[in-house]
Amino acid sequence: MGEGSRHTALNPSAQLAKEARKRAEAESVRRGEPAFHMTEDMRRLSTPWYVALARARRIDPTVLLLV
Amino acid sequence: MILDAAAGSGLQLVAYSRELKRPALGIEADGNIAVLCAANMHINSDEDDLQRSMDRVIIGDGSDAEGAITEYWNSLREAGTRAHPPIAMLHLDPARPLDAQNHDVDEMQPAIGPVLSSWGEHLQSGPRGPAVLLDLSPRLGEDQQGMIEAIVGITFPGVSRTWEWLSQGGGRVDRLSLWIGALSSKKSHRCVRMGTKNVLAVIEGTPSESEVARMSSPPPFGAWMTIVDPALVHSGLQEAWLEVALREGGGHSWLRLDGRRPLLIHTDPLNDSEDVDGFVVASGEIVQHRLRPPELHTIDQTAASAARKGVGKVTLRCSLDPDIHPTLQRRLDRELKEIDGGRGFMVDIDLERGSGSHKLYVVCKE
Repeated sequence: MGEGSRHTALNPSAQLAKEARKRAEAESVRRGEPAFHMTEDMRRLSTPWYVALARARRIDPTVLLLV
Repeated sequence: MILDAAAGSGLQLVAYSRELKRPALGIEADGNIAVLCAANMHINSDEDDLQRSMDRVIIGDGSDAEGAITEYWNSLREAGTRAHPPIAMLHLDPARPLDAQNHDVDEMQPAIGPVLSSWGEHLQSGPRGPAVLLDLSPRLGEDQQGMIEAIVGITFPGVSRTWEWLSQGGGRVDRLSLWIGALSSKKSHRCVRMGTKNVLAVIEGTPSESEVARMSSPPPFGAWMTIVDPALVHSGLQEAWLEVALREGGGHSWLRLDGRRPLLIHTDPLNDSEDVDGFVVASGEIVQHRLRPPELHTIDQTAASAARKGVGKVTLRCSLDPDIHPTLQRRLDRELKEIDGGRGFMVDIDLERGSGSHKLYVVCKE
């Protein structure tokens, strides 16, 4: 984090996953769905996994520019 | 790289990175949630995927692009990566007050305007503009949609956009989103019906107004009634749907467009197509009129008369007291348990008479 910066980068890692387990266990909403660490409030407001996946699948990867 | 400027749990970002095979950057203002987001990205990623080494979550302000992108690049450099992956797509699902029909667009956090203007110059942009997706409240009114349009128009002038209403079949709009620039289609409006896991039907088009007919006499036996998904009406694409749903020259009228059960009467059965069926809640041929609503003390008569029309299961799709609706349905199901007949449903319509209007209950056989 640079001096004066209001931003902090987190690198997804096993250590952060261990830390997350102390705050909220990773659970799947339905069988067959991936597990996510969420508080109850987050889970209530969360986009259903298959809605999120369907949205991602309806994006044509070729329209996203590669540089 | 795919950027989510208000990542929350990171669930949408995980879905994007899985499907689109790009590194993911999430920004989250709440440090506790950011830790959960980073953990979710880790436990849902493939350890052998080198691209994942460029995934990050930034704790900070999603509308401060300079600060966030600088921190991202610094973090990559510290990890030994010299790459500055360009931003191929921006996703934004801002938090909003719970009463989403009565709040100002500026109350969304982070506010849409500052996020778009801050990130605008950092987004990759092709002939159709940048790729941006706004995930909005499904209860956003027309005025608020207009405000969003204005904000997007100012930030990305001349860039096309597609509004999308998504329904999961529960009688309401479940998701409203705006697909901008490279993500937009050739049409301005789209309605999507999802099942539990997959998309069942999609319709795109230009919205148009429909007139609601007032009936003064009972609808004829043999005509058809169809309840459509209300999301179709919210999207304004009900007339576009009719073009594929009914044979050319077939008669039809909308009897109701508001509420949870928009109702269509038509002369011929619907065309058989997945993109038609997906937006149909129930469709059937009119076989019976009833002057009184189903009641507990007469439910046996309701069942017996439906059975005489060859209907062995009647779903009550009419306005009934919610306290007794489930009981009525259970009693009706029990009465018809031994009847070998087709499926049907009951709807209510308003009949206009000289002295005012009154309800008619119509049984349709699917």
